[in-house]
Amino acid sequence: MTDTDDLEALIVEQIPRLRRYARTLTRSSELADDLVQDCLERAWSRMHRWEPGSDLRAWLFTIMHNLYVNQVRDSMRRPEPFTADSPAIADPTGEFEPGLTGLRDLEAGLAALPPDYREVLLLVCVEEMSYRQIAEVLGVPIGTVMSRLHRGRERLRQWLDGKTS
Amino acid sequence: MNEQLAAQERELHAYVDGELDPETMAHVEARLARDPEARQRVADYRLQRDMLQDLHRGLLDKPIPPQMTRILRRSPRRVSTRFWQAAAGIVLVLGGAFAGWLGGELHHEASEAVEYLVEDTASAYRVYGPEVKHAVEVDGANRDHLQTWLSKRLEQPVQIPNLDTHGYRLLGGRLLATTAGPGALSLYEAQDGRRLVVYQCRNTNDERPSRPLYQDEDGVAVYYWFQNGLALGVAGASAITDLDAITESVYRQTGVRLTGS
Repeated sequence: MTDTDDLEALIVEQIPRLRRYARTLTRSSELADDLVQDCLERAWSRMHRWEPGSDLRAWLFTIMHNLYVNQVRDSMRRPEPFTADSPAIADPTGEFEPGLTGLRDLEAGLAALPPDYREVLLLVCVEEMSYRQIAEVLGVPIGTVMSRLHRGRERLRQWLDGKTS
Repeated sequence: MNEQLAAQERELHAYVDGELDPETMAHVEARLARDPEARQRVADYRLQRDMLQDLHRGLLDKPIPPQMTRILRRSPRRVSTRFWQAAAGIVLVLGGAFAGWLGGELHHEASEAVEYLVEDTASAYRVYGPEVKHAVEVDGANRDHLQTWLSKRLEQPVQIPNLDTHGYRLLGGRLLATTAGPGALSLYEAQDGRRLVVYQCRNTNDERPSRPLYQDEDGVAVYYWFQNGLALGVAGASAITDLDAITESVYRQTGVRLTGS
């Protein structure tokens, strides 16, 4: 059995990645940190379910995915209470460096994608997980992962094409 | 929309993502050599990947907010109920302001309402899970009646979820006496005899609506949340692997109907 301190260290190691993923997913730093916070609380309360030696990152991302799905569902069902920090609202802080217009376009393009596609794109491209891992994290067949990936990439391509031409 | 992606499309993505065996990779490369459109797509996909990796990369080096690591300093398993009861006793003695501090500090996520909800849900499962003869008062065949009756008693619309798609049949339901007044219990059974319960009572403490959270209550797996004026719990044996999915389904069903209200 892994020591509690070790476990803590292992999880802390994953926090920056979780934050980046949540931030890109939700487009709001506040919402993202709430998501990470919820994810950590949930993970910690069910730590006994994690099999030591198995992929901790995948396990944490699975938990975060489930929370995110709930959040999206909630915001669709009850628009009012969520308007203040709804995932549909882009973060207008303009925190990108000047000259990174491309990234801003990319983020807007990403925002225009259905959340399902966005998740797959990020897990493939940013987290560089295998299709099989992603299928497990999202709880869908590999074929679905690939078709979401395809549509996500193609839509993003059209979006970025439209921006540069 | 067509779910099945053509093999050629799949290969192109798998090529970009390094998921191909050497043989197929050579095959794809040969295709790329003669197909400028495919070449362009591969280049675009790679550019997308590079850009996506740059997005919010700065967060990787930013300090982690202390509240995130604070969670991890708590005991990974929940502290025993007895401790909380003792703490509650101390709180009563110490009174007002200090109690608020102590409550905030110790009870960070588990308010008293949550404690009761989790315990009542787990206890309903322990009591009625093994009951053979008189597990329910109203049979599952009379779902509508059950719903009307329990809604009346709870003075809140109560939805009795349908878990057939998860292989759990509604055995029926009963009224419970809980710390929050009348409670509604519905009992489900799978083909292999496994049971689970859905527990609902009024959210008398005005806890904020939440998503289902998990807690292990001495070997009973409990999900609990607050929604539409109700406190809800799902409990079953820890061995039920898809309790997550079942809970999601309950959460959806108990939430949907009341959107207009």
